[in-house]
Amino acid sequence: MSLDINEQYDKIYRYCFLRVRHKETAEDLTQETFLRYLEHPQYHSEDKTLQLLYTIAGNLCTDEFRRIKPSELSETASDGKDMEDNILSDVQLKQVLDSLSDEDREIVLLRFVNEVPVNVIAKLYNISRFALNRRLNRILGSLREHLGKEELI
Amino acid sequence: MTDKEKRKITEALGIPEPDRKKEFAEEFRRRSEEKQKKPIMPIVMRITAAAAMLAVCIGAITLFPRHKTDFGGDDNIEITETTASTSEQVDGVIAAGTTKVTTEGENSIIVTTVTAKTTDKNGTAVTTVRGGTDGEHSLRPTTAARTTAARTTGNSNVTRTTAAELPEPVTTTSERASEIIPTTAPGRDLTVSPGITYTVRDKTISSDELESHVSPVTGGGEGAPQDGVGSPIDQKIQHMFDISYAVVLAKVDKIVYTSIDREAVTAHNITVEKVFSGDLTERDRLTLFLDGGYMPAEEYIESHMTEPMENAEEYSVYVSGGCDEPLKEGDVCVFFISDSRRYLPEGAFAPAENNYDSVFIKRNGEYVSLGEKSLRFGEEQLSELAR
Repeated sequence: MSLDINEQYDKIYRYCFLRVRHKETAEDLTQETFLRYLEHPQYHSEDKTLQLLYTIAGNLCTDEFRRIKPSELSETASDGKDMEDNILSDVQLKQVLDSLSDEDREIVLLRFVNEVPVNVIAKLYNISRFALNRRLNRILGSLREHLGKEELI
Repeated sequence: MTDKEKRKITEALGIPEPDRKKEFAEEFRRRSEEKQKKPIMPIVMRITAAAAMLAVCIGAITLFPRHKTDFGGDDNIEITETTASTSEQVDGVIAAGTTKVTTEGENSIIVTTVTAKTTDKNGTAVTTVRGGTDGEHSLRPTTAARTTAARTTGNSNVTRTTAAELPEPVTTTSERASEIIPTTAPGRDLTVSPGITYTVRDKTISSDELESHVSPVTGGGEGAPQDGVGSPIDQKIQHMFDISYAVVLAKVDKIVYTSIDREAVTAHNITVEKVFSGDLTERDRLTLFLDGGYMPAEEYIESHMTEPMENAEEYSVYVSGGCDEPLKEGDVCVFFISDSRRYLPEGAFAPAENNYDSVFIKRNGEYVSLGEKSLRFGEEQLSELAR
């Protein structure tokens, strides 16, 4: 399966950034992920391709996180974002997301933003589809409660 | 999830845009193309080596000496007449000694033993040939005689077995010949039985109530804005159709509550009524596992909670699978089915997409997803996808 670099670069980058919380490092890891992907045989299945990409990215992020002390990592604020311009619900949404565990936050990104199939995420985190679905439903319920409120405004 | 919601989550996560995407994309394409170009010489060498190996194998097979067994090439059909004298005829086995044996052909003695019950209607005779010696004749095993068919005729006293001269079909009478054998297959039984099954107790409590600190699940789609016609919803249906092992209209025959990895799941035995795509056929029966269902409260608490509950053994916990109205026996739905069976019993099926998102029930002339309520389609739309 030929990889669409334009589509997957953003997704892998978001995943790496969420793991290491440093923009430059996340870009380096993203590029390293794709270069290492080229060294593997190509899969015909999209699911296997995605699983390989995220496995490589996850391993690189884990190695990087262990290498760099946590104090050196800083949370990069959104470019040019003025917090006063954020409407109340975005702040609440951010608070909800911050209250999630690291793994739940990653799962939110993978499933709801990167649209990675459930079975791929289940394999990445070594849990059953059913356990993952329950987790997703629980998280989604909390998120929709805040997103839904905004829609009513 | 809509694009707007995705953007909000991305912003809330505080992820900035990357800077070096464009440059790297060009570099990646260049390296991909280099990798795909393969030198010709190695391919030629591989083909040549494969051809040489094939030639060696063929030569070995053809030149290898073969052992030929000589059957004599004699197709003589020996006609053997045996007479069996019966003394007392009793039910069951008639044991009769052969008093006279005649045979045409080379020197040989054939002993015929009647070992089966002989009636007016049917009978069997077994002819055994064995070599040996007796007082008068030296015996040797007969050469293999080709008997194409045997016909047994019998009356109450004499059983004559003759080797047929012309090939004739062997007829076998059977007491059960009059039984009617159905000519159309009734559908395959592909159902499986879960290893663990639960019955619902008189008292039930939802997992949300039990855990109390979790806000109620809204059903995985309720309240979400509906997309317009002809946009992402159609694409989602198309995508679900494309990734499914099968898309069927089926009736729920039986529901069994069970668990996998200590998570409540429900096994649905369904019978296919109509096939839109895939390798299933009408009247096939299979088992589809969906997330959610009932399980004993004490088991749920043990694996999900830190604090015990009083009188837990009196309760069943209901775990929602992202659906406000779980399926009931007798419901007829469109199922998008996957054969990806990880963590499932052998032979079981799973939904193609997120749990109840893949199950559609007919309401007001269209099929609506039990999970993601914004997903819906008319029957004609599904028939179009099936073409």
